[in-house]
Formats: sequence, structure tokens, C-alpha cells
Amino acid sequence: MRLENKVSIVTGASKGIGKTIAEMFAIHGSKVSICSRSSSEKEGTKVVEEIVEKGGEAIYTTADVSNYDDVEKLVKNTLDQWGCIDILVNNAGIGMLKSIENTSTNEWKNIMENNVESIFNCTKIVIPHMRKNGGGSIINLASVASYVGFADDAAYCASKGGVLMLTRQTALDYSKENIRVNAICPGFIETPELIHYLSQTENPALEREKVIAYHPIGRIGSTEEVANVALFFASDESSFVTGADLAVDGGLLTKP
Amino acid sequence: MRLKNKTALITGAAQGQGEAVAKRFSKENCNLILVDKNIKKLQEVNDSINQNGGSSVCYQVDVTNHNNVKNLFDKIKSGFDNINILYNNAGVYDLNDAPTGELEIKKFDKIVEINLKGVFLFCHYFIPILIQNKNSVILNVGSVASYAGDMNAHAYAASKGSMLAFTRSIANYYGKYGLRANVICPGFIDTPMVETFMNDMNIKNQIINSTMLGRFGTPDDVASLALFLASDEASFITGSNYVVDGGLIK
Repeated sequence: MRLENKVSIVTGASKGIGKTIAEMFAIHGSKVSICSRSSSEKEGTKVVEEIVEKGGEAIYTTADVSNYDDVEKLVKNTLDQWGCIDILVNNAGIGMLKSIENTSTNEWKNIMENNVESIFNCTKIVIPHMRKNGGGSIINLASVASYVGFADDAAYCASKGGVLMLTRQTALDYSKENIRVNAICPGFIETPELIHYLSQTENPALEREKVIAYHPIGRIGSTEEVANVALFFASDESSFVTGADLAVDGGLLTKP
Repeated sequence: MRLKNKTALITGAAQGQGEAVAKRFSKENCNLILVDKNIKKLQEVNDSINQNGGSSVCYQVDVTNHNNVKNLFDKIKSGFDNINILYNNAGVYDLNDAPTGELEIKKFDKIVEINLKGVFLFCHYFIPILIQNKNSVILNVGSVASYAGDMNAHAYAASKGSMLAFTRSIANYYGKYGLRANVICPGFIDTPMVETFMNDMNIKNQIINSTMLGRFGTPDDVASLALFLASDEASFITGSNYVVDGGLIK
């Protein structure tokens, strides 16, 4: 029970990495407040039901975290339920595969709003409550695209680079109040998004081999392997770690 | 029991971070092979672990001495064919280290021998054992000096910087054998190695003020990260370097 009695918010937790983080935190004793946008409300509610069935505590809020008012609602629901917030996992985000020329201004704004402004919203609204609580841990989902560019991926790479820098900067401003801020940078992970992406390609099996070949370890990562990092950052085991970024990428970044 | 049924070989385990890592691993049910040059202190650590229900053996090894390392390999290769974790902790921060123009060549050689060649020797001999098992891992110890320039200790910075490229190369090549390799980069940790800084109030305060969290790290802070990276929880993490530095302010 590495998170006993802690209260966590996990955004974008209806599926994929966010869902696994919420489930793992609950197993380790955390009360978990999750959200997703209305289009995946059903899946999000189911995540909560399953956590509760297994004896955990969880609540669900329909919230688009790129919308400031929605985030206020999410935080209010969490506080109404448990009275404090110890951990914030800024997981919600979206992808898009387009070069800069093929990206419309609206598409650019959409990626930035969902991947960066969402973290701005959640962090800004949660920090006063963490301060009141004597500290906390904020975990941002960045990407290997925070370090290296990927082809036809302009807005996404820019947004994830922004997440990494926002992490370092926020850590600097709030460390004195015992609020730690760290980033997780996953490589390719077996998520519904990845499966969807592969299915859209001409030859999904070949494309999967290509993706696997990015990783010296010879496979795609699991959502559990990312959630393990979140658990480390969320727990007191990482109490001397802030402003840091941890890649979980099967060695992708060691490639020339 | 996060390291159940695993065996770890830890160098420089007689004190400081190495000792803390050994004790932490033992609490998680890891079998230990400890080495250090200082056999008296190492024996104490070893005894204390065994008295507390752990399982540990220890050997006197100078990590810079090729024959010493080879002998250790010959001695333990049959008894411990299931080493899963190699933790290259042995290292030195030398107070006579200096800016390059003033640094004695002999001193440079000595520092690099311990901090780089020692790590190479252990990797060279023990990788063939490590890759007999799936999910084996090498953890090398860098430093915040692996990234930033060091005002004074140029040999130290060079040797610790080399850990990043060396470890990435191991990760890149041996990934296909299921071997992971990562670097832990501690900031200022309260150990005998930084005793001189701790005793000078000016330097001590300067260091404390340079961290976001406003304190020195403890050996246990490093041990927590080491435990995470050594365990199967980190099974998709390789070729990377992780700071545990209290948020060093740039």
C-alpha cells in the first residue's frame, strides 16, 4: 500500500494509460477521482465501478480538461468527496499525425489546448489545495516526443516539448511549498490509440514491426509499465525527486 | 517483496549510497553479493544484513584491478549463475581533482580508472551472466555532474559524463537479450563522500540553497530510485538516466 489514504486526480482515465494509473493507484490504497470527456463517459464510469467492486474508492466526473470550468467542477467534486488532493496526474492528451503545412490553425490550437492548456488548467486550480494540504505530487505525461522529433507530427511534438518545460518550471516555483512536479516520457505503449493508429495504416502488421523496431528492447510497452513510473513519482519514495523526467521507452532514445 | 528471487551484485557497498542500496534491496528479499576495497567495513554491512534476516556474501575487490575482478568472476560464476542486478556504485570524488590545466595526469588516471574503467570491468565480466536471465538490469551511477560542468572537479565530471554514453550503448546493444541498463544521477547526498562539504557551513548552505527542495538527499532517497529501477516495475525502462537531486536549480 504505497499510497495509503492519498487522494489522487487522474485525468483522461477512461482508457489506456490513464485507466491503468487509476486502477494501480486504487490498488495501492489511493482514493481516485477520474475524469474523461462526455464521449467516453460510459467507459469512465465503468473504470470507477470496477475499482469500487474490488474494494477501492473512486469517483467519476465528466470533464474536458481543456475547459477551465470543467476542471473547476472536477476539483470541486474531488474536494466535496474527500476534502483534499495529494496527487494530480495530468494524463489526458491527444495525438495527431500531420506536418506543419498540413496542420490547420484550428488543429494546432486543438492539440495545444488538449495537451498543454489542459495541464495549465488542472495545475493552476489544484495547486492552492495542495498548498493548503502541506504539499503534493504532480505528474505530467510528456513523451519521447518531448526530446526528439517524429515525422509528420508537428503540433504533437511541440505540445509535448511544452509539457516537459512546464514541468521543470512548475517544479521550480512550488518546491518550497513541498509540491513536487515530474514528467513521465513514454515511448510507444500498447493503448487503444496506438491500436487505432496501426489499424489506419496500409499494412498494420508491417507497421507494428516498424514501431517495435524503434525499441532496442524489442517490443511495445504496456500501460502497467507507465503506471509503475507514476506510482513511483506519486509515492514518498521519490521525495527527493522534483523537476525530473523519467523515460519509459524500451531504449528508444538510445538510437542515433 | 519487490526483488524476490533476485540476486544483486553491488560494488562499493561498504558505506554511503552502496550500503543503503544493499540494505534496501535486502528488505525486498534480494540476495546480495557485496564488494568493496574496504573489507572491514564491508564485513560489518554484510553481517548486519545477515543478522536482520537477509542473505548476503561479501568479497574484497579493488574495482580498478583487472585480476581482482576476474578472480571474483571465477569465484562466483558457478555459485551465482542467476545474477539479475549489477549495481556499479563504487566511485570516487577526489578533493585533489582540479581544473584541467592544473590537474595532475596521475590523478586524472586514478579517478577515471575507478569511475569508468571499474564500471567497464564489471560490465565486461558479468554481462554474460546477466543475459542468461530475462529481465536483468545494470544500474550505473552518474551524477548531476554528468550534465552540468563542474567548476573544479574536471576528472570527476568527465568520468561521470561518460556513464551516460556508455550505459546508452549497453542498453542499445543488449536490449535484444532482455538486459536493461540505466544511470542514476544523484545530486548532493549526505554520505561520507561529501563530508568535507557538510563540515563547511558556507558550502553546506550554498548547496542546500541550490536545491528546489532545500536539503541534502539521503542515501535512502537514492536507494528508493535504485529499487524502482532494479525491480520488474521498470521493465520498459532502459538506456535512460534519472536524477535524484532535490531539483537542482540551474
